Parts: sequence; C-alpha cells; structure tokens
Amino acid sequence: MNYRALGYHFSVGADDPRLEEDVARLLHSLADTAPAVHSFRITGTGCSFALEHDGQLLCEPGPVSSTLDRLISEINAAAVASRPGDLLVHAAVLNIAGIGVVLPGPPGSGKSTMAAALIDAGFGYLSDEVTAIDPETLEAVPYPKPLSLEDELVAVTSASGPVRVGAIAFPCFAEGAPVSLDPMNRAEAAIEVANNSFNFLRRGRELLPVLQRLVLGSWCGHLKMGDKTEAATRLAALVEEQARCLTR
Amino acid sequence: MTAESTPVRREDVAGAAIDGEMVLYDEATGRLHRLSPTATAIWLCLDGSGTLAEIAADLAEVFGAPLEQVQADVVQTVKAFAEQELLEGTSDRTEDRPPVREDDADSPFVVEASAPCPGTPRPLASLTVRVGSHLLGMRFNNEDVARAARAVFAPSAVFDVEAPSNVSVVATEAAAGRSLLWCYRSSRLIGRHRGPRRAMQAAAALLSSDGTGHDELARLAALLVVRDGRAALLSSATDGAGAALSARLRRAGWQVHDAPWLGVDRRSGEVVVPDWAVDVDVAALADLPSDPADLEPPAPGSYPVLVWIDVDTYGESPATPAGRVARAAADAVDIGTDVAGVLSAVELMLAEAEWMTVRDYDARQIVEAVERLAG
Repeated sequence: MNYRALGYHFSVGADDPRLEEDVARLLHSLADTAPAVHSFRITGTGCSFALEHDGQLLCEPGPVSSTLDRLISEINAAAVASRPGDLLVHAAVLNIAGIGVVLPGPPGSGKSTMAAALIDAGFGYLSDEVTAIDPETLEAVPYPKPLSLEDELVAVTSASGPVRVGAIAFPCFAEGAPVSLDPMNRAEAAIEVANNSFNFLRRGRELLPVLQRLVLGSWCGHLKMGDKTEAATRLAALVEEQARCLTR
Repeated sequence: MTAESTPVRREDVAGAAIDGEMVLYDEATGRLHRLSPTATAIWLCLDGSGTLAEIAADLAEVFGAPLEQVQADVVQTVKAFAEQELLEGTSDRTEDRPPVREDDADSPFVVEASAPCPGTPRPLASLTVRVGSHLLGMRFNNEDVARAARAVFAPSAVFDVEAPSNVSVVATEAAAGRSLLWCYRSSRLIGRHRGPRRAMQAAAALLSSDGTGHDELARLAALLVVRDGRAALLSSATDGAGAALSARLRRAGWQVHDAPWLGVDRRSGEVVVPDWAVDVDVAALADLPSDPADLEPPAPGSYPVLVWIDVDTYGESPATPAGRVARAAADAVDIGTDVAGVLSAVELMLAEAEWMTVRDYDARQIVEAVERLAG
C-alpha cells in the first residue's frame, strides 16, 4: 500500500497480513496512488515485531504498539524533512468554513485532544502534529496522520484539502477551568509560532516574512479549556465569524 | 555609546513589523527579539544617516515628548541593542552573556504602552465655521491658538452654534522651549507644525476636505508629497513611523499635503490639491507668526504623479497593472459607491507613474528612492 506524508512518498508492508491490514486502516487518510520512493516493512509475527526502512533495521523486535509508535514517529520526521521550504510548525490544524485553525504547542499541550473534539464538532482534519504552511499561498498543507491520543493511535476519517489559515489558537488544557478565547498580541503570537516551529531557527531569514503574513492574516489568541466540547463550539463560532468577515 | 554616536543596525538582522512592533531574527545567533513600539521606532532610525542626538530630536518632535528624556531613552535603548549584538561593530560575541528578559522593566524588548501621543485635546476653546453647506467644529487646547483661529476664520465663523468637533489643533511644548501644533481630523493625526500660520493653513485644508463635495475627483487615502511640480504618493502612511517618514521628506524639501485624502482628476489622472472651500481672512493669516522649519503646503493645482510608493508590510505588493490599480484604489473614499469611476481614475493616474514597493516604513530607503526618481 502506498502513502504520502506531505512530500514523502512511501509504502508500508508487513510479514503478518492482518497487521498490514490494520496499518492500512490506520493510515488510510494518507493513502496515495503515486509510486512509493521509500518503504517501511514490519517484520515478524505473533507478538514481536521489528521495523525496517529501505531494508535497514530501524528498531529491534518488540510489542506491536511500540513498533507502530516508531513507524508514526519515522513518518513524522520524514514528512517534516520533505517540505523544507515551508514554515513547519508543531501544531494541529483543522478546517471549518474554509478557514484553517492552527493549534500550536509542544507534546502534551492538548493539540490532539482538541483536534479530536473539533473533528466531533464538524471540523475537517488536516493534522494533529505538523502544520506545513506553504510560503507562497499561506495555505496549510494536509498531513492527516492518525491521531495520537493518550496511549493509542486513532485512525481519522475526516480529511481536508489545503486551507488558508485564519486563526491561530494556543491551547491550554486545565481540568474544570472555564473555556476562554483571549486575543493576544500578534507579535507575541509570531514569536510563539516560531518557538514551536521545526525549521524557523535554521531558516528564519526567509521564513520571517511568511510568519509575518501568517499572523497578520489570522486571529491569534489563547484557548483555555476545561471542557473540550465547549471549547470546540466556541472556536467554531470564532472561525465562522472570521469567515463571514473575509467574505464581506 | 553617546549622543554623538552613529550606530547602524546589522544588515543581516531580519525584521518584520507586526502591529506596530518589530520582530527581529538574528541569523548569526538564531535568536528572536520582540521590540516595543518605542524601540521599534528607534530601530528603524538606525540607518547611519544621523547621530543618536539627531534621532532623538526627530522622535521628540514626532512623539511630542521632552528632548532630554527622549535622548536618554534612545541612548539606553541603543546600548541594549549593542549588548544584544544587533548593531554593526558589536560582533565581539560573548556566549555567556545573559539574554535580555522580556519582563525586564528597563529593556527595550519589553511590551509597553503605546507610543506617547498628544491625542485630542481637552478643549479649552471651540469655534464653529461654515464650509459650503456644512457647519464644522474646531477645538483647541490653547487660548492663543484659538484666538489665531478666530481671526483667520472670521469670515466663515458661525456664532450661537457649537458644531461637533471635526478639526482639533493641539499645542504641546517641545524641545528648546518651542511649541508644536498638532492638527487632527476627528482623532486622527494629520500633521504637526511649528508656527501658527502653518497650523491654520493645515486646519483650512482639513475643513475644506470635510466640507464640500468633490465630484470631479476620485478620492484616495494616501499621503501626497510634492516637489518641483511633481507628486509622490505614499499608501497608508498614517502611524507614528509614517509621521517620521513625512518629517524626513519635509527635510528633503518635499511639501506634504495636509488633507487625509488626495483627489485624482478623473479626466487627466493628475492629483489635485483643491482650493480651500472655507473663507479665511488672508491678511489675518499673513500676520500670524511662521517658523522657517515649516514648509509651505503644496499650492492648489494639478500635479502629475511621479511614483506611487506602496508601503507593503504584508509582503503582498501586486506585480500586475490590474493588481496595482486595485491596491491603490482599495482605500478610496468613494470605492463603495463608484467602483468603475474610481478604478478608471486610478488606472489613468498610474499609467505614467512608477510603482515602488518598500517595506516597513524604512525612511531612508523611501527617501533615497524618491530622490532617485525625482532626478
């Protein structure tokens, strides 16, 4: 089965045909008809599996969950490396009303949890891990990998094409806290996006104008959430208002 | 670092203006810096064309703040830039130097309140004048200025009526005991002047722009400067950096139009400075003190457009003629009611004009480019 993660074209095969089917279900939103340039193979059967990349052993035999985690981690890294000219942000990105919502943050900040809630609220899914911003169009390019929730990977069925970013919300999850969407200074937002970027500090000179245009064209703020369902509703309302403003 | 130093910002430090603040990226260290609005204004001035004392004098004028205080702030801020190795000749890097913290109260890198601004006055005096069929209000915070206005606008003054404020003239103390007169239309700063005569000329132009119809003109929101019978137009030059830019253009001998919009003749494509629509007592105006630092405004008449300077803080300056027409027409006063007429006039205006894209109100770059075009 062939797949594409941003600009990285690859296949995944497995010795165990049932595991190969499971992987295909997990990665179905990345499925692609273009020829694969690289290949992953999960070797072994039963309860011990190893991972190879282009014929080289990547990880020693182990439980299936850790092998799949490693596979996703390798795909993430290859996806980031495949579009070096983009502004690559450690962020979830979703779409509603034709507007992209970027949720930057380090691991554990609630990106994937929020992404799952937003999908339930009707948002289209682009990624829960990497937001690749095309420097020309300022569109977020989809990378609909499986959601990484708690200790499990969850296949996604909702997907979206490239979308123009209209909102950047920095999620902060706090149990029981009231939901709030507080606008922030966009220069501060630019610094925060850069600090959550995979490649800004290496390519800042060429990416700074992209970052400038990105934040100037977006609502920027903090999303504090205790109840993720309410947060999703509030975010949807904000983005729909943004969409109305853009089409006036 | 002293007031006589002429520091220059490093060429390889990239900057982006975002909501009045500058975000800097230092390629050599990979560090990001976020400048306060005041530090941003100072940073933009570090182009090697002036000493810190001269920069402080410019900023003191623009912000209406005491020169001594501004000069101290400028020197302190530039020292901080030097400590962060953001200036030419400060590359003797020490890796163990602590970074400037954004919550350091003395740092130019903190977020602080907006730049000082005289704002609209608490009015001590008012005057209502008739301009065409409109009654327009003026407000003053200084009795001497109000007295001058009553004399100049006596032929059009209306008594027993107090119109809402359209034009305000605010007097503030500036450097070396001299005063500055700030002219506002509603709450928007339009210009600042040294002498009462020039301030009244500006007020007359502002009242005229509000008080009459100008059906023969397509009105664009842009700054008009004129020299040797030719015009340069700047898009969106309305904030503090724009005011600093117009100050530099004035020093280079360009006359700056007082109105918040400029008119384009729909038949010729030339920009038009209309005659005042308000009656004034010419003798009273001539009797008012003038200051040699004030340039006369452009005389009424038509001017061919030499260059449209697109101040492009978004990095999206259009490359095609149609895109440029749309960009220049976007802020036209009448675009909502006469799209075809405005686009036609702007197309005619731009047909013979150069299109220049500049970034972030880099005053030196703009002035040099305009000078080059003017020959």
